[in-house]
Amino acid sequence: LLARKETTAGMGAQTTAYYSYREWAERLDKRFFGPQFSGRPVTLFVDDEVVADLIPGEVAGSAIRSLSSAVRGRLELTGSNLFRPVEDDYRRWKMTGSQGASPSLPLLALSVLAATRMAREDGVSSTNYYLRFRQLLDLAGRGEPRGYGETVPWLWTELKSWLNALNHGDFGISTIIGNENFANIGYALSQALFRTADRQRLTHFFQWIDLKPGEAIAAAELLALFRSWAPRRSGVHSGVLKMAESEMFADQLAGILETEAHHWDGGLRDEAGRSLGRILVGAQLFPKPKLALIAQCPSGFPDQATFVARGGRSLTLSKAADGWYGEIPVDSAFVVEALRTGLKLESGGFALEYKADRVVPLAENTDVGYWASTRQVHPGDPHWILADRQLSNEVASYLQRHAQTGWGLYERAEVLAPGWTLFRDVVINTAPANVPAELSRIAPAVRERPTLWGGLPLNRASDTYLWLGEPDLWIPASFAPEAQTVRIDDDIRRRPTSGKLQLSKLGLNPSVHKIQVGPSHRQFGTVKTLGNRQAAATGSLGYLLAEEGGRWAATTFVPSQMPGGNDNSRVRLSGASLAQGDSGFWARQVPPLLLPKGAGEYVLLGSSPGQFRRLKEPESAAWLAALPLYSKVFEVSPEFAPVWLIIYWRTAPAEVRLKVAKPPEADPAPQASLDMVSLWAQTFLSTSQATPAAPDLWAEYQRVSESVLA
Amino acid sequence: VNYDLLLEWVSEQGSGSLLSFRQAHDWLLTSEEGNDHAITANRTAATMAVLAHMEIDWVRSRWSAAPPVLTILPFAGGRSLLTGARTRALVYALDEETAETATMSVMWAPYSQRRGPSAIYLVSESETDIEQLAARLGIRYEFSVADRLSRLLPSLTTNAKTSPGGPLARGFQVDKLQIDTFEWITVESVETPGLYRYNLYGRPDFRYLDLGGRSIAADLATGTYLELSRTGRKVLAFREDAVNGTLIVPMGAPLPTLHARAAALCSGLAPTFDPDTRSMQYQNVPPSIAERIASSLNQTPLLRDPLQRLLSEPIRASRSSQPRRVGR
Repeated sequence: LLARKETTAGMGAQTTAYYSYREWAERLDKRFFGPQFSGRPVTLFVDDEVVADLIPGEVAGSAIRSLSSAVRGRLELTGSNLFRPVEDDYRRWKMTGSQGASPSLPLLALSVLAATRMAREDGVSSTNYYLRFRQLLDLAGRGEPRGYGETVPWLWTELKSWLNALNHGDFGISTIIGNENFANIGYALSQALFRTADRQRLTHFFQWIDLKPGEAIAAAELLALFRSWAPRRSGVHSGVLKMAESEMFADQLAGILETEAHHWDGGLRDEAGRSLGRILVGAQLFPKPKLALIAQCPSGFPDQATFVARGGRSLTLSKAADGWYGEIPVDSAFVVEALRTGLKLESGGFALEYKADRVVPLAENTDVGYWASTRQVHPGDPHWILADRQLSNEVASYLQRHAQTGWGLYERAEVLAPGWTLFRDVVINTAPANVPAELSRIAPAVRERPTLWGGLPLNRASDTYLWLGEPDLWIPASFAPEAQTVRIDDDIRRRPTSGKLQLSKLGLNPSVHKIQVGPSHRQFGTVKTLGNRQAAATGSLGYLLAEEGGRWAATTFVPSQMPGGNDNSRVRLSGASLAQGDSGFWARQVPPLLLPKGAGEYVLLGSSPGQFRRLKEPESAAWLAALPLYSKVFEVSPEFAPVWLIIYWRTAPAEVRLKVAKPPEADPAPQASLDMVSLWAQTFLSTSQATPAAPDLWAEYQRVSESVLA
Repeated sequence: VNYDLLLEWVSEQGSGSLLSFRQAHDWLLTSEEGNDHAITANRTAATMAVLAHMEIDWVRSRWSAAPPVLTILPFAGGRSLLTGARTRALVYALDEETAETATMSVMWAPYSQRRGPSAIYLVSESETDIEQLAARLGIRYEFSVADRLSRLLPSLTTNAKTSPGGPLARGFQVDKLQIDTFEWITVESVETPGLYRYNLYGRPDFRYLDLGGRSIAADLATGTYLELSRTGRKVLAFREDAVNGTLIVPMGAPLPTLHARAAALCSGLAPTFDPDTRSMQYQNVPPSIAERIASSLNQTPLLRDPLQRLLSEPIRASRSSQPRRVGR
């Protein structure tokens, strides 16, 4: 085939480089597939600009003529299948080990080019597609070219197999998906739906829905979310928007989104494919009001780099903390300008961006130590709101209706950011409907899709909650508005107009529960109890005790982490639980006794002569009257360990109760007075009971008493 | 707020971050209509710590449930109290062990409180019933908890020496406590002795500067009593009742957690707020325990006559003495 030749075209002499079919195959292969795309979704997206880009220095028209000419040169114009030579080349290439560029690529690229031209300029239909395809190949006639349906779809499935099955995604993961409505041209359409820039925007879409890398999400739910996101702040081109609206492409679009989501690494990319980090606006009020720009340093970004802003200003940023470059060294005028117009900083394959908005919610950001801009107000959390002064009335009116009382204006906002108003202490805990677009960021949303929020989650497993602490279900108004019901297990309820459904109010049993809102499915479980009478980490905080001036005392006024978890060798206190460790410092304390109410008098007797205490039932404290339960006893705290309790009932004989079976001591208790010793002994000798408790022991005490008195 | 449900969750979890506690608390707060939104998670956590249900490390923003304990209250008509963690498994077991089919000598009932989980009281015929019940439940039986805690209270001055202040946060508003009014005023520098507050997000950080210019890390309560001690002011009062008495603590000088716990576990109830005297009142406190609390905080002798305390109290102890966020 021709390697290169010169032609003249039109009015002026124009030099066009013609490349062979094989050269086109190699250029396409290098552009779209290769080790640099390993593990990432790849799309053979070809439009006029991409074709021109493949031949440096050429204008689009010339480059397309070159590609068309190369493909046309491989057609069998007189046979029953125009594409037989390409198919034969492909089979040979496959038989010989699939080395180098696939001979199918120029033909397939041309089919995508036809699809992008159709999508851009005509309605999507087979007729329109084949018209474009024929125009590109300078084929006369109408409708499907001979052999197209036999060869081209098969070559697409082969390309998919080559990427995914033969090379295991090492040169990229296929996004080729058929379409039931367009059996022959669907594959080409699947590659034409998204420009490369649109694909990069999908990373923003995934972040917008708070998708976590590796998180499973149904294709249908992704599609519903995409349809909500795309028309708003997506920045995707109009062709994508048209297709998003069409049911004809629903499955295909959903499949593409699912593939992209599955392989998303959590990072953002800008339109040019650069790794993208965020710039936040941060506010600090002390000692002076100050607004700052704070740059993220996402994983993979250089620790130090010089970024260039629009207008050529260079800014060198150094990583200040994990995940952050920190404050960008610019003056306040620059910050206010960025607040109004946005800011993008670029450095090689990396970029940092702040997207301007007229209403910016700020939330506490402990990473950076500022009240920093956040994408969306979260229900129940405190926020500040920075608003363009022209919108401050709308914001104030909105807060009046939906925010909890307590919010107000920060008086020195003009110093902070001229032309802006700062609302402070804003807490919103409802999901207002019909919020104007410019206030959408201060309409609380947990996520952009139905989400479980709050509740009493348990650590045991994700999405497991304590029974009666079921979470709320938040359903954004923008999500699948056609879905008017919520299915919870087998129960169907009307979708709440407030956007919030309190599942804890539904009387659900402790079990696994399945929820469906339109295409969105959620699942969570509840348990009555984890089954432990005491959870594992209970008591992990407390107070260590040490000897201080002859007594034991807590070493601090505030608790701290206890060493060794359940190691009780150290003296410590957690809550009301004392672990004495190796020390017996409470040994001399005597436990309290509960005595029955209603007697005239009580006598406690210890094991040593002199351990005698006579007492009466105390007056009942007034505050006890309010407590539940009637108590038939009262409590005493004796100074010695009582062995015997004698109850002198008013209308019955005295009752002797043995508290502890302990033999008597011969010697009087230390510091016991002679009177007490005498009372102790006389009590044993004078008290009689019809059926004494432990008569042998009682007799022994009587013998010691006699001895003491003697 | 359904404090009982919150305690059940705390107990089942065992430990966690203060953020998780705040989320659980605030979700409960907003789940019911008519809840008082002035209730903060921090205040609830502090109350639950005072009632010995949990311990809180404010500096590291962590909490842990405290072990469940059965104890007999002092001079409370022979009532016992179940304090600490209260998992549902434990409460189910308590139900079983005290069912009529199991025993006739122990009964229990909850008593609800406005600002904390219900107190669970038990009545029994003998102290050994409670001890044996604790053993069957697999939890600790501690006798005279309030008395014991009051004997373990750390000394204010000794403790201060062991808590040097770390580096101070920058970029935040700094306030100084006016000890005569318990009000905070914003200051430009940290030079004179006293208690300073740095308004970090959600949780203020406190530093006490002593006469020697030494910075001491302190919580609000400890710092306040250090300053009261330095200035020689006595603010704790005790009113004798027919049985035991009431410990009266000004709102502006809340007791440190351990001290408050020793007082609260005399009744098993959180202190009540008296709007007339703007004070917190702990019921059923034996004089000996009140004296030990006061002694630990250099507040002896206790003011015995409430009127005397009122006269010594600042005229304007107002809401503005509450911690606040920057800009609030």
